[in-house]
Amino acid sequence: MTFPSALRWTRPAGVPSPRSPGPPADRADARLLLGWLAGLTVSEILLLVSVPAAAAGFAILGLVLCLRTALDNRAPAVRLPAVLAAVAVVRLVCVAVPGAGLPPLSRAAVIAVPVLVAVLLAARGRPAEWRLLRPGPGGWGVQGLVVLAGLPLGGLVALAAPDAVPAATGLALPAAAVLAAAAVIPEELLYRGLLVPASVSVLGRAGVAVATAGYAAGFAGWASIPVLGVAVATGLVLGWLRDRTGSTVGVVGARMVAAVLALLGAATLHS
Amino acid sequence: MTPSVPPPVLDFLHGGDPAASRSVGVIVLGVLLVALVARVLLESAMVFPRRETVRLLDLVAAPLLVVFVLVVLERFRDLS
Repeated sequence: MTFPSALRWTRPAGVPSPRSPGPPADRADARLLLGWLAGLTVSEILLLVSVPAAAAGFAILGLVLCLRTALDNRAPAVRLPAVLAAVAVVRLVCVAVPGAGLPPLSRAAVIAVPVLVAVLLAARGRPAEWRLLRPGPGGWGVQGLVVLAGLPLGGLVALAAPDAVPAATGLALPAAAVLAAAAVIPEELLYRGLLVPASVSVLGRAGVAVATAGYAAGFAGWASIPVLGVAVATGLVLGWLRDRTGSTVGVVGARMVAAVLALLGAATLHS
Repeated sequence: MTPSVPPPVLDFLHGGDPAASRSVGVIVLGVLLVALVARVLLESAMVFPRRETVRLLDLVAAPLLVVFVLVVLERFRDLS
């Protein structure tokens, strides 16, 4: 049965939508996301002062998210607290993993192991549309095109931020390339695979910018301004591609290509 | 290019102070213990534990357990 168009109710001009600025649950998630970003940024900046203080900041952030989840009476619509806690724990892991005697690239590969554990646990029970290892609606062809984005990104890193590429000290170049590619997979699954859709589900398209800020904050405590700029560009481009294509497969491939290219570029520039 | 802090930068940030490394280790161990104890208490409580909280505590504890194992292995390597 269809109603005549004259009987359909239309909202008069000036009457706000009942969903704007959003239901209370959305507003609470937005506050949580922005509060987490502020806490993460402060902890990263504490790296400039003291590593233990920064580590304490990451630890407190992770535990506060656990406490908030325990006290929260409503069922969370998305896995937002888990993803945010995973980022805080991963940052704690990054400063706590030993390996002063290891080459930088080997240490990055070692860090990838606990990061992968955190990603796997954060990904449990995620919504089906947060595709991590399956192609999006565009299929494998679109994901293959997304991989090509790694070519300019790798060139950008090699030219603008060569000091941010872990040196392949004591390693053959093919082995270094494999390690570099392997080291970026877990963090790409975390930042683009989980953080981008979690942020977008709360803030819409602005979530890509917030996820980028969360990724770039990881460089704030130690990297130079050009490195920070490249990190922001990488986060925005890959985050936007992940949001548009609905899958992480392509951006993981792009990041692997960029890592290998940057490594080769840095090795060529240093030789 | 990864956000993992490179070892030379990390050494510089520590200021060559081994006490700073110990402090970070103590923080990791503290968080690990808090997460594990909270999980055990939640499981053993007579009320239904919130599944989301238990999962979150697992998420905090498991990577730090891997880090703890790595620290122990490094200590053994240093001793040998």
